Amino acid sequence: MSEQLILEINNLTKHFKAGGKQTVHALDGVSFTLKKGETLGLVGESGCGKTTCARTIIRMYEPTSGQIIMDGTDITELNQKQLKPFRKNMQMIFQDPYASLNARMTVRDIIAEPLLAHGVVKRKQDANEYVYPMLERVGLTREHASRYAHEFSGGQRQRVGIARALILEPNLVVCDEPISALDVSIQAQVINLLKDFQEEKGVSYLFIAHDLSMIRYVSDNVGVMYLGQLAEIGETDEIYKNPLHPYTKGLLGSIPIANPALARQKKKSSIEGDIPSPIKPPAGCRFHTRCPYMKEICCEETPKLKDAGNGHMVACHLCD
Amino acid sequence: MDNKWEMLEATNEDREKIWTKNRTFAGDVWFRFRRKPTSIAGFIIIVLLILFAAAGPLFTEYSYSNQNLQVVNIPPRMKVFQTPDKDGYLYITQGMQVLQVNTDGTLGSQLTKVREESNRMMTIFDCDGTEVALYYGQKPYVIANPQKNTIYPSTELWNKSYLLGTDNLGRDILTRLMYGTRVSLMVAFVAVIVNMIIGILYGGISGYLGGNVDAVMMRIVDIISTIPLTLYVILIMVIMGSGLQSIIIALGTVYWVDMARVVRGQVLGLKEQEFVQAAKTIGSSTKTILLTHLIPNAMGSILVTVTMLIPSAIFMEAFLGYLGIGLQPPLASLGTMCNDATENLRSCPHQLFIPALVICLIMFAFNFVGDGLRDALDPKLKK
Repeated sequence: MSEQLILEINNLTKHFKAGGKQTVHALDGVSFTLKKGETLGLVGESGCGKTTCARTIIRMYEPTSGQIIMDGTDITELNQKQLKPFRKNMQMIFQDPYASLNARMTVRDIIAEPLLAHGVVKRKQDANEYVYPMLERVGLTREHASRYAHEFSGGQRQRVGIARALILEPNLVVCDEPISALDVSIQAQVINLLKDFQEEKGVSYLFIAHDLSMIRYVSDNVGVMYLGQLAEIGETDEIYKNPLHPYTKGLLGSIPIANPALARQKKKSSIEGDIPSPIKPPAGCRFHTRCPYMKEICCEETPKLKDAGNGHMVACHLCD
Repeated sequence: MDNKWEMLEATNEDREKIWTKNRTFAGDVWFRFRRKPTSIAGFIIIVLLILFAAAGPLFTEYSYSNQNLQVVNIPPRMKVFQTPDKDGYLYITQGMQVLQVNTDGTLGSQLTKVREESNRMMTIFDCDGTEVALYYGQKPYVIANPQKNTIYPSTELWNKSYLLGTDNLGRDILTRLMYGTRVSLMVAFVAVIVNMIIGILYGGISGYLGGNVDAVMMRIVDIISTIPLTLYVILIMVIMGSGLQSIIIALGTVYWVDMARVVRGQVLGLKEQEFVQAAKTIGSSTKTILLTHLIPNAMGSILVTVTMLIPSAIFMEAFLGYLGIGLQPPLASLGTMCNDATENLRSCPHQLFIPALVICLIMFAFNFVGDGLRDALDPKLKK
């Protein structure tokens, strides 16, 4: 695999205004890189800023500060019109296959929409030569093209969403929890489909999910997010075998184990309490309110992301 | 297969197959529309009314403006008296004249008055050489034989010359009804066109762009909607003269504001939905997003609003006509017909009843059709 960087994120920050003078710190200084043909998994609790991160990268939200560099071009400051050629190379797969497909359009029209938007085909009728192979590629048939989205099952719908995202053969696909609305048997089907595409076309994925075992299966690198910041990032195996941040340890400790004998042996290490409000994030290390190893410095100084060897980056005072 | 419980081989094709029938969008809409008896009834009524208004005048020998003062205020069902020689009937008009009626119910000419015998409370007319008397000593008046002082036998007959009777100027009500329905449907048509084009686009753009654009566009709508429509019509009539074109222009300039509000509200909600966000990330243009994503999904509310606005536009025209600032005589509209009829409501209630019934029919029909269309256009309600 080449070492070409598809995406580079520097200090990306996104604050939302929430009524009055309050600000929601949804995303605070996140940086990472994504290479061609690789997958970066983003994990974290609900409300930790994963989706905001994805949507800011795809420029659905305007970033408050920071840089988004795609294929060597800074796209942070581009307006929507200038962004259009880049849109062809970055697509998104949405979480909810029920809400992300227009109920009034046939599957053919849904999949053909990117083709028409970017002028790959001029007329709707010409789109079939792209749409039919794509449908068959995602395991649907030509007959499905004239159907409406609501006639499909959840898994079929998500495959339609994937077909829409992949028809332009983009370099980067942002997958915002593409499997969390699906049942387990279909999750595997969808994940394998995405992996096959990656091998064929060398697509890069930014993959967001709750499911830690699924992230392990699909990702080359994993980033753990907590309250709008990256807590830890590194190669998948390294993170899973040797988690350094207490939050990562807690997260991994919460994975259920199928074997009851092993499960009983395991020490309970889940995290207590709830995620603090992103309107007033705690000073210092954001995790200190829930961290079992909290020291004085944690309340005062924000830990920086530091290399702990093998490209394994961690933001924790304990690992200094 | 011998063993019914044997496992079947499931191919991938079977698994992905959708077992419902594949229908085109139009076929689908029609299928769901016709399942509702009320909407079909409304649809049939509208078609009949259009035929009645468009083709009806071809089959009538009268025009909406032809006056015949000999046959003023004739009802559809007449009380008639036999002529002395029993080959026809006589009808007493409200103007104390006597009208010949043929046995088939068609109207003949007026009898000529011979003399007045006020001491016997009789007016003597000449009926084919025989004298007949209109006796007004009792109510209702009767036709009597002046020599024998006997009343001729009476009966009731349907009016075959003027099926729905005539108005106070002797004009055929049926013919005027055709022209009145024509005006009403034209007003409805204009209201729909204006709503569909200006209202939807205005509301859609306002809702989709949001922010300051939305604020300015909606304040304009507020200003337009605070001025009463009657005032608009009067002002436009001052400039353009009264008539149908003034009403149409008045409706056209202001009738889209409700629609603009409804569409804006819908679009505000829809634009946050994931499929619209998806279209944005795909890179679709604003036009595509508006026309293929937002407006089709708002179609349910749009249709409900349109079908509520059609009757109200028709009623507005009728109301303006009733007030006397709508169509000017001799043009007929359902409203002006109602207005004319109020003068002799007691003696000729049918003159008010018939156009009022047609107004009701039109309103019912459009409401039913709109209701049915809203359900039919939503593919999620597919059965």
